[in-house]
Amino acid sequence: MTTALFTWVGESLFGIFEGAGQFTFLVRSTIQWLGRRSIEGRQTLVQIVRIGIDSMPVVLLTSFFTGMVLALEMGQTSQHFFNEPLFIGTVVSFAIVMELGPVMTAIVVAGRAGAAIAAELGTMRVTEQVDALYTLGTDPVRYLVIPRVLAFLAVLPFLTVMADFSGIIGGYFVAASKMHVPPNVYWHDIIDNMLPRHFWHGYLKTYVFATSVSFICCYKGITTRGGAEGVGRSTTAAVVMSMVSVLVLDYFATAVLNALGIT
Amino acid sequence: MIEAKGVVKRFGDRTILRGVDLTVEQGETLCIIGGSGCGKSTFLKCVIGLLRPDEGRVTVDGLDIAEMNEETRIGDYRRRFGYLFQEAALFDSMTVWENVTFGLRYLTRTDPSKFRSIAKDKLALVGLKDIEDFKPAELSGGMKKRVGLARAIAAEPSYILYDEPTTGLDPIMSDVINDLILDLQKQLKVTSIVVTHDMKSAYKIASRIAMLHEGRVLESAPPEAIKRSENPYVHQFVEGLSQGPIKMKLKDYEPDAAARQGTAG
Repeated sequence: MTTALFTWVGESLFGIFEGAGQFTFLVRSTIQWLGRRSIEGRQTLVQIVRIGIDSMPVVLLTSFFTGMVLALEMGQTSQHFFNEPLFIGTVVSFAIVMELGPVMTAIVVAGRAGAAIAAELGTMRVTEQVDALYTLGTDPVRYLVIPRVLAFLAVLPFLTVMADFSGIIGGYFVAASKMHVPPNVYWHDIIDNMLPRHFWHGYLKTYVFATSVSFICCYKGITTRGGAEGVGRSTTAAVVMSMVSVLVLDYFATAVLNALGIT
Repeated sequence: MIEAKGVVKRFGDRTILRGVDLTVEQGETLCIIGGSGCGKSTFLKCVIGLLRPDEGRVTVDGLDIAEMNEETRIGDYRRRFGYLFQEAALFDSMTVWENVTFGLRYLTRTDPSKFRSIAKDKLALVGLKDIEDFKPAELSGGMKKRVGLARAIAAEPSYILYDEPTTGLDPIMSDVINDLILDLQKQLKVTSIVVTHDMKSAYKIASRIAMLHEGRVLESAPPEAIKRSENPYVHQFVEGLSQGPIKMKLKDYEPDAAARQGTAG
């Protein structure tokens, strides 16, 4: 019993360290290829379209409703305490621009595009297409990983800005229609209080999220083992790990940005 | 010439290759036969550099890929090879002609405007026409293998490695592939290693057959000599006999092992 427990702990730890090593190797290899300026322009553009354009509707929709629910909750709360809906625009815009916009967008894109990346690369791995890349003179990191990482870095900040606008407009609809807040009050609540550093606070986080989500999904995909079942396992693990990484890194990114005064 | 000396390859606790010594002469077609899991495909992957041996070395024209670090030298090594994968491993997202010419972009300095006509020529060599714009999903198993073969020969390699080229094909299509391998041999004068457990195919295309069992080469000889081999392992395999020294595990439950455990307990 004790031996089995030690074996299980040992094997689990070995697996974690092995995975960490492989992940580090993938990141190092990506940096090396980028250093050689070996970028597949066409592949990168294809990925930008796939990740960006295809994720746009779902990102805008989720953000719009997030803005609506924030306005509703804030309106009800301030109505309850102050007998009138106060600072709805301020609360909605700060929550969306600094926190919910970047986090929600990263999570939605991880669930949609990240899962697709892990499944695609996983299928390529188990059907030997990744090995075929080697035999045909190119490197999977150069051909598969770099375009996806670059596409994430190009697209996620842009999608986040779009999500910010969508959420604020969603909040405006609820504030105007349900809380009867005059339009100029809602917009002035935003314009009078929001400074560029508040925008930068949320915007800079998206690069952290784009890096972590893209590397995790590529890593899980490219190290897939075990046929169709393995592809399913990798895809699930990629999405779960990406989402957890977004939430964990959000705290640390916020702490660093606060320390730098970008808040 | 391809030369393997004492090649050992392990995956975790399992040792797949236990000291393989093999030489493939220029212009020769060596068929490596052996049961599933004996290390045939692993050896092929060690030759092209997809896997690195844990011990021993593989040299091709005197070059050892394990000693190469520079990308240009590795590219020069890989340029010598064409590789036909077991399931063809065509890229799903590309058309047939893009698949066939994929390696030209990285292995050669061919003008991209000529890619399509090159693809057409290579596809004609493997008996296919008017399928340039098809996607791999629209092709039958035999057609996929032939497109894979066209891709393997597109960069005009000196060596072609075939990983079970006839597996999963009907007998007629298997023979078509065998004829193609022989035709390419004559036309392109390439050196080939074919991994297979299809004896009919091995007898037809091989100039020499090597039998691999439990990670070691048991015998390496011309097809006629292999047919008449007195080695009991080789004889059992080439005749396809269930009785003999090669034990196939039919099920996980083994009465002998269970009885032994019962006694020990």
